[in-house]
Amino acid sequence: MAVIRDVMPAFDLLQPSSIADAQKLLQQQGSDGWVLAGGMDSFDWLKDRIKKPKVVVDLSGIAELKGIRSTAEGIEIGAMTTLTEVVEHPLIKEKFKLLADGAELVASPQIRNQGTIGGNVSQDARCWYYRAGWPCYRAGGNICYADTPEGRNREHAILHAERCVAVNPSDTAPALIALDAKFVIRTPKGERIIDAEDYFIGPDIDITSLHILQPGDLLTAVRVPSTWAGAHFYFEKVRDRNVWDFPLLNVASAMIVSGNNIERIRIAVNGAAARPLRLRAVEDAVRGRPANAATGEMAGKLAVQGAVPLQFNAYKIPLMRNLVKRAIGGVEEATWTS
Amino acid sequence: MGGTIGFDGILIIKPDGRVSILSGIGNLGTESVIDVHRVAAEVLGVPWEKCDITWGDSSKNLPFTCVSGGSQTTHAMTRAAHATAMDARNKLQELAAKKLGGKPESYDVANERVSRKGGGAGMTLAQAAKYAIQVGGIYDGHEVSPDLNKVTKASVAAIAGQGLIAAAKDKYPRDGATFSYVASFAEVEVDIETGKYHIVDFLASADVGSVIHPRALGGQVLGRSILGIGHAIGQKWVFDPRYGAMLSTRFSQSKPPTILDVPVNMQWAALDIPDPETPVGARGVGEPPVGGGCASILNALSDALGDEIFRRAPVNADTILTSLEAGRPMQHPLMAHI
Repeated sequence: MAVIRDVMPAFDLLQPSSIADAQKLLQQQGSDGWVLAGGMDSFDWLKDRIKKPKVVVDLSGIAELKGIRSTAEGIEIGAMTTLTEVVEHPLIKEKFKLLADGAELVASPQIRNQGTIGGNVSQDARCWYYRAGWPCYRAGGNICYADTPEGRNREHAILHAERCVAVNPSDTAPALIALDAKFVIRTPKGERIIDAEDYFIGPDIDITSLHILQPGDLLTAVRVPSTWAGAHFYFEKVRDRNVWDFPLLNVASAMIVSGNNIERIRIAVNGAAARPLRLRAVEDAVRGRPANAATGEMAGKLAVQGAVPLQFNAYKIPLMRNLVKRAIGGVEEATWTS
Repeated sequence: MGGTIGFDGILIIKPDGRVSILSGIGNLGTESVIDVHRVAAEVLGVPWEKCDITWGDSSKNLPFTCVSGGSQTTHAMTRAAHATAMDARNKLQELAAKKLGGKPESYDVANERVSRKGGGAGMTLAQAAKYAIQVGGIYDGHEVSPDLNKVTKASVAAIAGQGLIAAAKDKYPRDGATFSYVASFAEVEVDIETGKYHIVDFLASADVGSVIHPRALGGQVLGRSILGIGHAIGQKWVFDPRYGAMLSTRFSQSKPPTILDVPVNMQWAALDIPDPETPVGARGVGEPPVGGGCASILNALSDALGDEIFRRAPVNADTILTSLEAGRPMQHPLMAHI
């Protein structure tokens, strides 16, 4: 008999209308509570009956969490702002096009209309086995099914893997890291502002979560400072199809160039590890050098040092190398003889 | 399965002069449910606008019909429609001879009338229908040909007396087997740094006998080409071989082609050479474009990259980059579902 997979298990649905109420409810529920933003990640877990929370706290009625506003330092984006709103907002298109480009490559138009930026950066890994509910490390067990000679690991990590080899699937995350964004989190102990790159964690810190939110925490906003507004941006996402699919790999960079030399740069890659990687060594190595293919080649090789391929994901090494090269040196027509 | 024969048709010439055709074809959106019956209008000299097609429910007294599959419908059911129209034509001639004298062969059916060849006595189809009801017997469905399928006989019995009823089995000869053919051509452009490629141009040329409905044929040829293209560009199952578990359980995981994967330049053509073994000259199509769609893309990729890059479909960035990087085919030739 076929296993029925499309009926969500029953849960209590709580729909607060303010951040304060949401916080109260989340703190009450603790680890029994599930935060629901756009639902694009949550519904997969619920419909497949892998996760069965007792209580779902739906944030969609909280107006304070939505909207994009100018601030003295730059812009602030409410965590429940949809990706479509991020893509279409004039301020983001004008000054922070890197984020608009990254957000526009997420999934599909329908998903972007419903999915939120807070959800996109907080989304969970898409490893086949983890998503199918197998009892792996990330699910609290003590085995990894992907990191084996036969495991289906084409989409998995080449860097910083530690027991778990799943990757972070977000397209907005590396763009936000490149823009030096800050994430605003309300916790039971008060508000915290943290750098984007510190929001994401690898298995060495917590193997069961891709981000630092604890039960009771709420990501309320993303702040993008004006520091990199109008810089030379590069975003590229490589995936199997031309829509819907998660990145096999993506790259986001913001570069200030004077003359033809790189004054400063922030560059991040996702899909290579369990967290989006800010490539500090590359940033240091290219500072002061010309923004050309030669610098790009050097940077690319540096970026993949230490990469460890699994059975089916060795392609990510040349891919990451080439994406970093392009971010710095641009895209050129290749010479090719067959 | 393609190239079946021997099915039935039913049509009624109503006392108001309109032709009611009963179509037992399943409507998959191919438009065969309607377009195979066009031959009735031609044979009977009736404008297509005066033909009414009844379809979609077996309680509507439909004839024994082929299944909608196996690329067979246009071939099988144009034959049956032609046989039915010829039965109607013969009955019109017989009724005219009976009422107006002379031999049936001396009457012609054209311009919504049955009348003496060379001009002279005749009646409208509406008058012929009324006369058929008067005469009864085989002319208005109270008697049927014994070689009809029992489903058809039951349907005719239910509509007897409504007008001049034609019901016939396709007994036309057919020497040999019946197949349709499609030749497909593709041009691709490969980004050798990321392994992404796109389809620059595509043409599928079909040999399906006479073209009955150009737009419907184009839809079939292009649509089914996409099915084949999908197999080349990414559609697959993902299967864990150690535990025997299917990992791709949803469409988003098995990656059927999306509208953004469809080549922007996509054309179709048809030879429109009548098949001599069938009265309307038309053959079915549906399956033939699939193989060409897949093979043309794979051949184009081989032409671009060389023969030593891949051995199976789908071909994506991982296959291309790993082989290019290693300088030899890296994909295990018999391994699939990755």
